[in-house]
Amino acid sequence: MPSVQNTDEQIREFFSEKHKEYEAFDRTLNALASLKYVCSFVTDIADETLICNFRPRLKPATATSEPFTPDAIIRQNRGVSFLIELKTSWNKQDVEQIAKYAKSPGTLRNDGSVEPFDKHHCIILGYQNTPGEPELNSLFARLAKDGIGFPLVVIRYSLEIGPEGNRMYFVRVPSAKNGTCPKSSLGKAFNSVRGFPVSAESFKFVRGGFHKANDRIIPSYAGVLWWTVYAKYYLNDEQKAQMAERGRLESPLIVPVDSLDNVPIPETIEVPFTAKDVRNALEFLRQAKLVLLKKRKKYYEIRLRSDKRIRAPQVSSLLGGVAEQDIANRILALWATYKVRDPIKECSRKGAGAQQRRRTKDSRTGFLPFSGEG
Amino acid sequence: MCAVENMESCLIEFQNWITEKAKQDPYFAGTFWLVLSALEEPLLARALRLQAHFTSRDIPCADAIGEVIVEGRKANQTACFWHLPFHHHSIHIFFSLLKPSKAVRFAYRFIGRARGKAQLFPLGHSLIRSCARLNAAYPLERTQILRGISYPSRPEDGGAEINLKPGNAIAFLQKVEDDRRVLKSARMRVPVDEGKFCEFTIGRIGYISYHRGTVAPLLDAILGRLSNEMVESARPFTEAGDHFVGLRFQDPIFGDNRSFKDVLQALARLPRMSMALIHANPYFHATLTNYEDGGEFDIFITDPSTIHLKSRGETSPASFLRLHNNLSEVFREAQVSIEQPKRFSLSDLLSGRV
Repeated sequence: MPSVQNTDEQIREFFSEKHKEYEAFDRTLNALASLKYVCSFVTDIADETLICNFRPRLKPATATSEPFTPDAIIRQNRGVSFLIELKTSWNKQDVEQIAKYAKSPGTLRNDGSVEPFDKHHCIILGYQNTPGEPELNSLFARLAKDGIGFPLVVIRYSLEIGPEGNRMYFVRVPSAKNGTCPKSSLGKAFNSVRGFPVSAESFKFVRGGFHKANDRIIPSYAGVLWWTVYAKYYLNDEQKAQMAERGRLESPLIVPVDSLDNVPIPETIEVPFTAKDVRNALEFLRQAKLVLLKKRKKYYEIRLRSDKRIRAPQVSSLLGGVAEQDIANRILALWATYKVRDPIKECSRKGAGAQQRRRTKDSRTGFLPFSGEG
Repeated sequence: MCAVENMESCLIEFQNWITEKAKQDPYFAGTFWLVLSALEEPLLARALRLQAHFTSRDIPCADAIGEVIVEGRKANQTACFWHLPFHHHSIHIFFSLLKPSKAVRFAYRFIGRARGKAQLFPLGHSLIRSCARLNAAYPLERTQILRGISYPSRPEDGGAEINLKPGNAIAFLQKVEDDRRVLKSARMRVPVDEGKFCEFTIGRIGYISYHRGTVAPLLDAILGRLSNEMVESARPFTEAGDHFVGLRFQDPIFGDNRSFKDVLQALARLPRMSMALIHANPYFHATLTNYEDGGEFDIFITDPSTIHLKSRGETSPASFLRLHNNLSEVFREAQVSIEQPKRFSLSDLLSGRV
């Protein structure tokens, strides 16, 4: 049996890992908010910008696959367009993904028609942790091999603390093969060797609109936001009254699995959750044992409670200082604790299979008049 | 409800009645609860479950009553809140005959019925100062503070609620300001005419309780000057819409991440809400859903002296006021303003000024 100390260490490790992932994802959303701010409130760039879409869908080159979802498409006048994809760190699959984006003929409009990319198109690929030279070379080599005629610009983005305040910093990666953005004000900013910062003081004005990046959200982030923002929209009038008066529900909130496709979208949200994100969120909350999945009845059962009624786990050293007051950390701590101490046991399919085999082997049916060789 | 032409006589009738009551009872406390609500009267009456017809313990001119029953271990306790029809603005006045310290629990339950559409209007330092002078002919130093209770404005300063040394109002209020304390309540005797005074207690949470003396100048102040000042101070919340509301504090109190804990604690005191800290390093971003009134907020701290509130969707001024009050109780009074994003040029961006 593992010692208590080992278990606590394991919980701490899981928590810390999840927390880092949570913070890294949050930085990506800060970067997207910064770009939105720049395109809206830096007048030279705003004047040139025609479309600034943070939920674009790209038509794949082959008809068989689903539309691609990069983080942003910015279309500007004089035939300039930017496709933006932001990532935390390098992944081998990035080469394939960028190659697919590069081959795409254009963005899909709501009516399903394609809006081709402009004459001066470019892909901007951002990383929090800059990949090494060999990785970047493999990326540029692949695009060269595919004969892609427009530039790929790799940038680094980071949230920095400075005397002027906290700011999101964008700077191009100093690689000889790194591309150059087309001529426009935004292109000039990305081409700048010194890069450009956007202060938190500025981008906070648009930050609240980003609940996720277009193509992804990590489950922990989805779980926390679902609990604090989206759950409210699943309550009926009676349940709203119960929450208003007591801060908890008298009976569990039931969310049928087949209703998950209808995602309530809070007002003024630029990039809201999709059905897939809600599923991710509920799954994470299930692992934190805040949500129960009733598989046979096909619904999620949620004992929704306000902040103060969610108890933090006993591993008190996980939550210190600021963290102990807030629900995000408590949910992450619950998840880590249950992950180690009492993980959810999925129903064994092995048992079901054995039962099935027993049924097929049942020889009693042989006595029926229409069985056997007849 | 009194017709407008009868309002004057209604008010006089009420003044006579309350003065007589105060003469009969040496411990009299007739409390005016000041409630901010943008709801029309019929809607507010429905939200607070007011009854238009009542017979027992009639208060002259009151047009509706709200009864609150709290189940006790031995017996149920009841408190009544009468709606007075004298208000001109979105500040509604309710009247009770319990001592404020006993009535406060009932008052919160009563206001809670409106699910955030109504809120006790917190009386900050400037409003208390304004109340301490009821007749322009008599300077503030003629006002005597009989008892004052305050608590430290910054949690790390330590110390609990203390009774401040009574004395003349100027010295008393100056002491509160100098020590950077939040005034919780103050009982004062204010001169209103030669040889006449009005004695009342003013409570930060949003009440004025009359005890003895000439009541007319106090009522005039509540219905006129004070109501106007309250409406004016709530204006940014009325106009906030989907803009950012900045609560700017006098001192740079959010210099380091440790201070964020105090912000979280201040917000966590709000009942029936769910709050997630999105980010605390290096700046503060939390999202808050208040189930009581359905209000949703993003809360940011990106500079050392300002908290920014951004509501998602339609949020009532009372909901903003609730947050503002909770934060002000911990970090003293804040200057409220609506903020817009600034516009910059490309050269600003490239030189790091955005």
